[in-house]
Amino acid sequence: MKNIKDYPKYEKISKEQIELMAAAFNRYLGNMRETLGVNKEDVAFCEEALLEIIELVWKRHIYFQVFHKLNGLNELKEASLYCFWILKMQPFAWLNAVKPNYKLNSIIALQIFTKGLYFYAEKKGKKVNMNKLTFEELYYSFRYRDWSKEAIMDLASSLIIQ
Amino acid sequence: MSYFSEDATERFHERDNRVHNSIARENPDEPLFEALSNYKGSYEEARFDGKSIDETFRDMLAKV
Repeated sequence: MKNIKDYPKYEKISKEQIELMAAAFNRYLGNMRETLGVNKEDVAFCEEALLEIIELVWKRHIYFQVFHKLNGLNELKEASLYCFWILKMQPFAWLNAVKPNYKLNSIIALQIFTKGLYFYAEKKGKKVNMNKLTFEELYYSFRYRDWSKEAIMDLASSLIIQ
Repeated sequence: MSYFSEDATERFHERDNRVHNSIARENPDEPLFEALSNYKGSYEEARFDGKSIDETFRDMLAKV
């Protein structure tokens, strides 16, 4: 019989690991900013919150590894989790502009979610079932409705079709 | 209320751990955003009312 203390304990994400992931995230955000035509001086993010988000998603990665006999989260679920935590923690903010930050955070969350959908669908030889209406509904929903991590992951799966 | 039968606990123990129905990740150690940064494909080809997804995002940002 195993006792609780026989099971492994979570070890904080290593400095090297989080640096690697933060650098990749930063590069992605830089590309996104350029693609969406946002000036570098116009938007900032809370480093503490983003690092925490990276670790929270990493923990879920480990959870899947341990409990679901899988090699961590697939990319669709991971993108969904980033989407959830950005909506929750609102790490992005406008600088020098009187604009609502919650809309900015919803757009960034939706961009990551959408990119994750297309990336995953293409990798699996499938398609994304999304049109302008779905897109606008999601944007509204991400701003005003309640979402759970699991609901966003399930939503993502339901938008992938043969 | 009855006690748990021995059969039930045996069946429970013999049952496989639930295997998640999602497809496992091929390269779990590659940071997601590394993969997404390098990805060019149907995301860029998709059109919503004739506009690319990023153009749609630009329109949304302009309205914020």
